[in-house]
Amino acid sequence: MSTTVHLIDDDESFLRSMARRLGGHGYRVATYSSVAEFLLRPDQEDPGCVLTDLQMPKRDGFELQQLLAASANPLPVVFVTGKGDIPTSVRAMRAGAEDFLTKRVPTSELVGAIDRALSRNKRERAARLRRANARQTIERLSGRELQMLLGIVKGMQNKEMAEEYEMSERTVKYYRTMLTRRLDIYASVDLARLVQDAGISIEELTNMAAAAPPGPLHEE
Amino acid sequence: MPLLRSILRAVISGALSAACLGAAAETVADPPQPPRTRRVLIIDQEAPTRPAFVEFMRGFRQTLAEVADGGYEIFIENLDLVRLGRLDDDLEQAAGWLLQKYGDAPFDVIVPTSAITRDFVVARRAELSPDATIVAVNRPGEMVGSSLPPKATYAATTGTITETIRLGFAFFPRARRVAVIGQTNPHPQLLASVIYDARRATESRGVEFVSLVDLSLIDLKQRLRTLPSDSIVVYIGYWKDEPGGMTYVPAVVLETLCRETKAPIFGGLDTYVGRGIVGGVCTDARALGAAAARLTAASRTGPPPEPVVVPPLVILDQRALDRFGIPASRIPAGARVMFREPGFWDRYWIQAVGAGVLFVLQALLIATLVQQLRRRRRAERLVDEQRALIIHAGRVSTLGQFAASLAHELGQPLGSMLNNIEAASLLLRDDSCPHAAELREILADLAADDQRAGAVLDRIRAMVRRQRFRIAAVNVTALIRDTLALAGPRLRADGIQVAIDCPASLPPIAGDEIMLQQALLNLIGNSADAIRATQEQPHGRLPVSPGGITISATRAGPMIELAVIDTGGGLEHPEIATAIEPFLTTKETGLGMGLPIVHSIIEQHEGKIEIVDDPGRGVTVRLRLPLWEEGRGT
Repeated sequence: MSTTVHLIDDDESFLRSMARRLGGHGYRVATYSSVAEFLLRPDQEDPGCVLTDLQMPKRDGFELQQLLAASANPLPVVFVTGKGDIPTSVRAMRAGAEDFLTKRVPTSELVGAIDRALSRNKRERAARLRRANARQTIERLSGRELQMLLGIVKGMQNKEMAEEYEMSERTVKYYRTMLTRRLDIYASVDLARLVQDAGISIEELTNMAAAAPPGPLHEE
Repeated sequence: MPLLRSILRAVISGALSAACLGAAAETVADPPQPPRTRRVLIIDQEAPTRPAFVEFMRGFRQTLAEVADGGYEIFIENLDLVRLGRLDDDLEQAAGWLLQKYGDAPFDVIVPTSAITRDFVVARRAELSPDATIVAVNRPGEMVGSSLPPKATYAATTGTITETIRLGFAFFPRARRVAVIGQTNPHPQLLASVIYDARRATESRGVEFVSLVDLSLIDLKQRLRTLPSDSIVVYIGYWKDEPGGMTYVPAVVLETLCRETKAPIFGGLDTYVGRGIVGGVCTDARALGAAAARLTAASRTGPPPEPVVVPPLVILDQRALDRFGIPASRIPAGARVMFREPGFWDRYWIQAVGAGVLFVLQALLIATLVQQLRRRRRAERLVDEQRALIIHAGRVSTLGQFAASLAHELGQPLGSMLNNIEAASLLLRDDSCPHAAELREILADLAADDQRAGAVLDRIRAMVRRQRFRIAAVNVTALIRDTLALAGPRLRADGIQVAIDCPASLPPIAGDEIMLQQALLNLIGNSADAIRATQEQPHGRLPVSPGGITISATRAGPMIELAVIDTGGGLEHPEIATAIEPFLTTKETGLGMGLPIVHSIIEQHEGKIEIVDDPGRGVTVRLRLPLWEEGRGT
């Protein structure tokens, strides 16, 4: 799991020199002469960022940007272009590019852009990891526990939940305790944040609650 | 004898009257008889060919016919006294002869045309026609007569020689003498009065009086030849070369006299005008005749009518006026100017009006043609301007694209160099190398030069970017039509057919019309070149049809798709379709900028370009351009 700056450019000389330059600044660099080559790279999950030429035959920088955005590991993209006109840069930035550099970019700008892209990647990866963990946690819950979670996220009182799920208030309390103990999260606000972190909507949670096995019954 | 004759005539007339009375008594119940024809006798003292007399008679007959409507029988006696010489004897003879001729048929009116004949008629009326009314007419200068006998009236002309002389001085104020041409016979009284008038006129003006009276014709001509030109000559008449010489018509003599002298001649008769004289205050012989005729008609009933005065008329000869250089301003009002050359307008007015109308029509035609020409020129100029604009835009975009491409192409290696320089300087961070310091300097210089070269490229790019680029609503149909208007002549010359498939209902696109025309023009030009290349290929088969270009436009979602399809040979190097790099060309004279420009233009329009090559058949280029949205600015 090493952080890599992926360089993509059809100009061999530029690719090589840029790799040298970034290497000199201490970055780990991987080079590709085309978008296709980059897409076939090993270690797809590794952190990093992409520094790509905008104009390339076949797939250009914009296409790469779109492909990456839809992928599991959307690495931030920094464009390098020999043209650098305003409409192009606007378009690129609008599509979520980290930065837009010219081929003769000064060091400070280059390093700044790379660092910003990497830290963004780091942030995004952390968020993604948090989300994945939260989701995993939530997915492990039983049907009853999911119902409780749903109720709490919706801001329902125990009484309301008892009516909603046709059980006694005692039972509601029991399952709530089960849920909080299991997640080791006790405040309702924190539970709601967990759901949010997991990127699960109310509807999805409702569906999950309905689909999951109800779990061990509470016997009064 | 006269007594006997008068008795005889009285008897006859008495018998006649009795017969008439008897007849009247007998036919009293009958409808009234048509009026008896009245008999008029004109007695003139001279020859019937005398022009003044001819004019007089013309006026007399004409007016009598008008006022009396027939019923008159006119007899004329020209006594020709001048030719016959001794007047008194002749008159005596004439009286007898007249009685013999007309004694038994009395006249109702007798018109004597001069003082002599008047006196004669007054004296002999009792014998000739005792009941006749006398209508006396005088000649210019003749006294009318202070008292008239009963049953007489007169038509008188009042022209005097004094007035003619005054006219002469009006025309020639610097004249030094007045000469009078005349003869004692046949009008001694007339001559006397003329000389009296002339002497008075010269004395009052202090000029010389020259008498040319009673000279032989030879002497007269001699005198006229020596007469200074600052003279005024008054011509009364010349009747007979004395003694016993030829008899002349005064007006005819006048013609020869006028040729003899440089001085202007004036005369008091209208018939003298036209014989070479300047003119004069004249008796209007025809008006006099007319007046006499009116009096004749009026004398039919009741007492003799009141006398009439016929005012003299200033009659002038335009030719003489011209000869003596008398300006029109000196011509008195009411003057009758004879022999006036009809003016251009009088003579040619129909032609003049026709020519005028023709001229106006022609002018209109010319104006219309000029207007049309001007309009066509303006239209042509507009097309030329548009063409110049396109060509300019083409040059600018070619140059711009060229520069941009150059900048891009050079930017790449410059960037690489910069990268390498920096990488190298990073490696030199520790001073392990003995020349580290100097190498660092070298690298810094390299970096500075690299930056400098890059700055030049940036400036070029910035300059290119300043190209005007105005986005507006562009009608696709108009775009295609205007582009073809520019490309048409070349295409037609090469026999290349162009078909347009463009529905008129297409919404407008957002773009810069000039730039888009430029792009289309490039594509059409490429297609035309491709078609021409297939035609010119020496080994290839000649195409049956000269080939053509189809330009179509269709709506494709939020875009308009413009396609330029040709039947040329397709791309020789298929990489052209994908590579938009400049300087790649298959044409001998090509720059390799055509497609890159199209590319660049379409890119600036946020459009797409697609090139489909069907080798051997042709190329289809599809341009997708965004639709115009209201409220969109440049």
